[in-house]
Amino acid sequence: MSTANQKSARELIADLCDGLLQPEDRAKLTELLREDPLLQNEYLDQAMVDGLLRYELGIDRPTIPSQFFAPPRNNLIKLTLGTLVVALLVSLFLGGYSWFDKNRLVDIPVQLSNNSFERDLGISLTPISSGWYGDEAQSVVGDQGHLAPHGNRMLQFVRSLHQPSNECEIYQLIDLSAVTDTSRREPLFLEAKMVANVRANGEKTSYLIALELYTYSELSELDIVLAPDRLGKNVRVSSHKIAADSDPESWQEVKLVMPLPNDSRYGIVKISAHESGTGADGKYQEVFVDNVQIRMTNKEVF
Amino acid sequence: MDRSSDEFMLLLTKAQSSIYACIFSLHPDPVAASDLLQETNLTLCRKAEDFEKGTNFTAWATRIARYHVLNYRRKLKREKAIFEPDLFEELCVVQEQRSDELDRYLHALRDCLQHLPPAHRQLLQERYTSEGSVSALASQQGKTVSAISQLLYRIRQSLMDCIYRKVQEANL
Repeated sequence: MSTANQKSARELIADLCDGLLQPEDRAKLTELLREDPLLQNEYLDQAMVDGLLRYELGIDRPTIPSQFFAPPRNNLIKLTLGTLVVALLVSLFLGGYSWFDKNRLVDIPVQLSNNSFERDLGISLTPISSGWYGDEAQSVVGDQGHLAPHGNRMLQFVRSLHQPSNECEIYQLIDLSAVTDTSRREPLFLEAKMVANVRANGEKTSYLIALELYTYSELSELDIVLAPDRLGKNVRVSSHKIAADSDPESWQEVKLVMPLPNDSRYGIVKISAHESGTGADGKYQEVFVDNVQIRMTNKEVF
Repeated sequence: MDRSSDEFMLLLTKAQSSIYACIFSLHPDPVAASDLLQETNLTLCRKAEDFEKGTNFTAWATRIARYHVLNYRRKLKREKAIFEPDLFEELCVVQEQRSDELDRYLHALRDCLQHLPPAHRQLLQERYTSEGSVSALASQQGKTVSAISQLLYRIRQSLMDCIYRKVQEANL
């Protein structure tokens, strides 16, 4: 590809991706692409990244046929957030009118979808549906004597086939907008807890299980797609990690409390498993979590 | 595989971005690409039983997507088809060679996005999340349309370089 053609070709490819290609330039681009297999690859690179970004970030995300699937992502997010808002408002109403009474214990459960993993996760890379998203994980009934401590099923982290890693992370978006109020005077706290168990997969392998909460005053779709711990603005975080114990039958409680900033509108709960050491044999199927709960209070109960 | 099974729904949901990108790169018209994705989804559901469990779902799905693009082009008047037939076939061949890697590309893209300079990430957000046209972005930033278009080109190129690097590292 000559330098002169390269510049011209790149401008034309950019125009095509951005919807700016003029009809008279189409023939020129076709001619350049015909002549040059490397340029064909470059075009496909550009168009593929453009297409992935359009779908992943939103502008061209179409509706998936409803007869086969749940509603599209935008509607589901709205539906989920709407449901949460209603649930929280009902909780506030049932809690009485003394919300601002300093002596009253505020204790509002924050609704999580599939919090004890009784349904299949249907986990997605992006929050395409309500519920958990992130790395690969599954809902399981039990495994070699490990039974779910709550309900019939529990979460099992899975090593990704596509991108094997020693970390497995899943997230769920939560809406706090109905209960956070920039004018309130008393502090509020978010409490989160879950139970976890690990059957070590080798003598030299160790595990950490973590529960983390992030709150945001603003949250864009791009932020949601990206991992919350990599975000730099408007984010507060609190976390608790436990190390796997030597007893494969025991469940440990993981819990945390974080002060809830007044301007918090959204939150993300993150559950993760971190594996280290040299004993990993690639299975990574021995980390279980169950019964994730979040509540909002005006007193630190833990 | 049963089309109503959770496993099939999960595979199809996860593959949506890659199928869309495949369609868009062969026919870069966003409206048509969205329609073609829906048609492809319906075909995939109808043909779910043909999918062999354990094989590459995205490669199978994008092959069917290419048939849909081909079929769509047949109905188009020649001047509406963005690429001439011979060039379209060449692009299909190159794209098919990549289809086994599409899932890895998507994983790598998400990681690469996190490492973009904040200004570039912001520009992508405005372009792709907020439905900002290149013209609107140029006007907003006091730059020419061509300058914004070329900047987006370079950002996409750097993302692709990052994707290749990460996929290569994963293959080592």
